[in-house]
Amino acid sequence: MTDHVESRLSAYLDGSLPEPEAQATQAHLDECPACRAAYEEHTRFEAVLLEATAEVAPREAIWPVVRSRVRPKEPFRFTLRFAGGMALAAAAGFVIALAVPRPESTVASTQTDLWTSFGYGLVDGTPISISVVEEETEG
Amino acid sequence: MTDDELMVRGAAGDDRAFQLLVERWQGRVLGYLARVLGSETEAEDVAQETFVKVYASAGSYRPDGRFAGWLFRIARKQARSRLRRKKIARFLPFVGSEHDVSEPPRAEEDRRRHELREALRVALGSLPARQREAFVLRYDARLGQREIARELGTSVSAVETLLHRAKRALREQLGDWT
Repeated sequence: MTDHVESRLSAYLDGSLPEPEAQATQAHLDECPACRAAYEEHTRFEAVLLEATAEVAPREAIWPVVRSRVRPKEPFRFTLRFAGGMALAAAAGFVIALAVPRPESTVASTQTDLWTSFGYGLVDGTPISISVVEEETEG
Repeated sequence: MTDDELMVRGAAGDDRAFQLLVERWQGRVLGYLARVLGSETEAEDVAQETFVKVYASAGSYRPDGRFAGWLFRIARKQARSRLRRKKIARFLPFVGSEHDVSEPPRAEEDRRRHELREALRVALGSLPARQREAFVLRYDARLGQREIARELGTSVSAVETLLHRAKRALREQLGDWT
């Protein structure tokens, strides 16, 4: 069988022949046992190739990864939740700022103010620690 | 829904449409990239990059019924870029020891397909690059001859000849599988 005929059979099998040529090829296959045998061999081999080139399943879904890489940043929205978070952060900042050690001359008065403002008692003019308060309470 | 319709919806901000498109094509893109890159792990990486690019380029896509060709043009460029980064000078898939060729089968029932795939990989390595590329676009990417001709910058009849020669050579090496 010539290259040209085999090439035509291959194209016929592939479905890429124009309709008139495809019809002529089919008519020839109906009449010619040699070409029909060749065509059947092509068909079997085609099935092998399709099996060997079947789709490959992803190990993990691709879409979520793609989505996370292309997701545009959410526009800024001022929400109650955001406002609450900001208020909490401000309060925490205030407490930290007051707790940071100051120069000697200002420590006593600052600590006094702090502990007084939080309602803890003073022992001999110095603030008591929480642990001392707890021990005294338990005792 | 057609690929074009999904692309149009995706470009208009419908993520569900993009998701359907990715899920429809991921297996085919992975098969193609695994063949070209010689590694399923790398193929998954590059497939993600490919679909990110599809997403980013959706606005420039013209819905003219050629989505597959457009998609695989992107996949092909991403694969080339990956191979270039790996300092492989030419686009020569499956050429032997430079590549992490394949992973073991994931399940027992995949064994035949895995062995067949491996046999095809070895056989493809013996083909001229042009035949190999036409074959991979036809079988792994499942592009039509007209689309392959466009991708390779040649005529449909030249593609037909490339495929015919490739298959004749492969049949000699894979005859036992028929």
